[in-house]
Amino acid sequence: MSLNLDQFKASFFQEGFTNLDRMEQLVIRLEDDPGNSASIQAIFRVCHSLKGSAGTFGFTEVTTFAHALETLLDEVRQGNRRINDELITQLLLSTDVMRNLLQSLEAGEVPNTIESESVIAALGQMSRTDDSCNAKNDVADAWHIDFYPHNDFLQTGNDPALLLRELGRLGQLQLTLQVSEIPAWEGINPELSWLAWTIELQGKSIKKEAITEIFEWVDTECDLEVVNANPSESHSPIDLHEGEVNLANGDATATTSATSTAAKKQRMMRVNAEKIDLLLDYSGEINIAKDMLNTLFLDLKLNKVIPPHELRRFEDRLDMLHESSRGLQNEVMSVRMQPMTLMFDQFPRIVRDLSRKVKKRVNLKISGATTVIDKDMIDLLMDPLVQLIRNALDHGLEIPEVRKSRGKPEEGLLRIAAYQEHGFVHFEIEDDGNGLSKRKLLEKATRMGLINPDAPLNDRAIDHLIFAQGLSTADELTQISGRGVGMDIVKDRIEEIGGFIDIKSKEGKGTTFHIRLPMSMSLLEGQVVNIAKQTYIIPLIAMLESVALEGGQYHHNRPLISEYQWRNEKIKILNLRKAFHLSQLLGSSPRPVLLIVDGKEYGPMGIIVDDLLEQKSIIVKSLQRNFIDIPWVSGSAILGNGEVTLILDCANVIRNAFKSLQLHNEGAGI
Amino acid sequence: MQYFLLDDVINIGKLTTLKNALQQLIEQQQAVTIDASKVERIDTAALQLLALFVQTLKNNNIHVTWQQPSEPFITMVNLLALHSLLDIHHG
Repeated sequence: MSLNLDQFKASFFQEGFTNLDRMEQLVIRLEDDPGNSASIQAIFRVCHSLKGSAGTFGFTEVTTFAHALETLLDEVRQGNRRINDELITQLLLSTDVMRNLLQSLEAGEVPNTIESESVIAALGQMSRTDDSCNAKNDVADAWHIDFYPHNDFLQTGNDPALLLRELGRLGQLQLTLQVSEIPAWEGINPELSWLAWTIELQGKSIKKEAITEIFEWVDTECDLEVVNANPSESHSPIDLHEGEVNLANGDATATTSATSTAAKKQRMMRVNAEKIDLLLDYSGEINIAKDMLNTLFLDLKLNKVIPPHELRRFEDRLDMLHESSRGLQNEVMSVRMQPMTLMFDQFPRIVRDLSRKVKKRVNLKISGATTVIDKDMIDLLMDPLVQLIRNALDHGLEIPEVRKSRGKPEEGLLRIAAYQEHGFVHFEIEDDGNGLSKRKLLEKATRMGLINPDAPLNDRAIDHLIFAQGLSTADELTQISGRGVGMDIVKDRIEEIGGFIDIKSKEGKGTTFHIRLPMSMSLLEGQVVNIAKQTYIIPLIAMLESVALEGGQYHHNRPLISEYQWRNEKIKILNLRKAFHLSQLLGSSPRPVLLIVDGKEYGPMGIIVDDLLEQKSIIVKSLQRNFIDIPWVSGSAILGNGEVTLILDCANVIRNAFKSLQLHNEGAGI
Repeated sequence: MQYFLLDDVINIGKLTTLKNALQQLIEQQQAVTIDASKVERIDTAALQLLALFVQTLKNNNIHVTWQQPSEPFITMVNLLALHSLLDIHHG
């Protein structure tokens, strides 16, 4: 019977990449704690597992490489090789090589083996040296055994139970069932094996040979790993994450363990992310239908068309629908939410590599890795965050000698934090390095014609100049972060996903970037407003405050941009009717409201609307995908009355207004 | 409630018959009691299929009850650490 393995390839690649990420984290951990034998055992197991599964698919480039790496790792775990900087570097390089190999294979390309062969040669060279000690671990009281039968194990007439029974005669067994994925009942071939085990065997002076003998006659039908569980007295389990759920990239992975904790016993299954998107779409449609029903209900109530008792029944059913649709939406959204761990776990490696390149010492502090955010946002955030880290290492932190001369610790601080507050996700990237020179920023911005030297800027506005295209205060161009390339892109990326970036910097003390993001790009908390009888939505994330105005305080014919005294500062306010060329004939609103919004580089700005309507959670529909990209519109939504409403991108509305004012003034020769 | 009696000997050679019988139980969408009192010999392949059956019903929120599992049956479940997948008491 032949088995079509293609259907399993996607899972193999996904698990492969996840395992390599895990291996990388373990190596970083090993560098920090070289005495932790559990780390090296775990790295070995990851490598071995990858070798075995790659072998199943005939990916010889991966198996060959993993085998060479395994040989070196075996020496390390047997205590025959020192864990030093060279070894750690080689192990990290090996994860890169295997990742590249997997990427090529996943893309259906023939992998370029020049790199892998050169690293294999280096691994071999390492294996031939530093083998002065020659520990013998062939007899032990405790053995850790990984037993992974291949899919066809049962078909070849073997039964794991017989082997485990034999193994039990050598000592006391403790089995943990390992199931990476429970197959679907439909279409299952019951003869294919999908169970695997990790086994702790304890007894007195058990020979490794005795164990391998039991499995000798099935060695081509399974992956077997027999490891001294106690080579240096300690064997503690590795717990990299709060749960095992997060190791898979984007998808939940099932782990069933007969002896594991309740958390590990959660039933899980893989779900295609597109199906979740579809569910979210349907959930959004149900919400819209529910809102429409509610509007209908209010109409019926107002017009007294239905008898009161029928109206109450209608209302009860509507409440039930409301509860269910809200529950559905919350649950679907929660499925899309992923912890930052997926992203944050990559930072130690990035910081390690970069800090070595720029010869700086870094104390990396990461917090809030369990903060959750929409998975799509994680993918889009990675590049901007990495760029900020690069900048902090390259331009922010000083080299140890300079820090010492400035009375700072030689090791610079780089703090990366994530947290949730007021329904938004916040990131902070802080360094205690050089800080920005406001004088240099002003000089360069003036030279580039970005600012008017006669118009004074406050500290925040000066710091924000760093986000201007092509502007940098760095004296030298470097390969790490470039010069003036990146910060404008970082800002654009953050804004594209509906977020805000702020900066606070003090020369000589350091710089902190603060990013504020919605938890999801699909769901938005918005304020519905009325402007000249048109309805728009303003994202709550952009709003700082609302101020009720007296009708007399505002006239709809006031200039496009004017000034307003807000608390202790004079801010600019924007006449949206003029900006949107809406009818000026409707007269002023009797109860206008001034919304103070974050105008990004323009600071707090006022937007006057005719009326505030409701605040609600909105499923965002992309205009760009369905029609065209309009810069000042971030999307659209359907309201309860069926009306399609535009969601305003306040920062771009403001930018457009200033731009058109500038053009107008230039045209008028002002 | 449906009732299903397991044969005294179930092994890989009987998987097709077992799978068809379990398939019918799944289609009924009703709680199932599995009587394992007569089981004298069962192999890993059969236990693996029963585990998948139990998990499939659980995913559909259908309850499975075990009735008097025999000693040989429990011994095999213990040996293979299949309690949680079979939803059976750790004996």
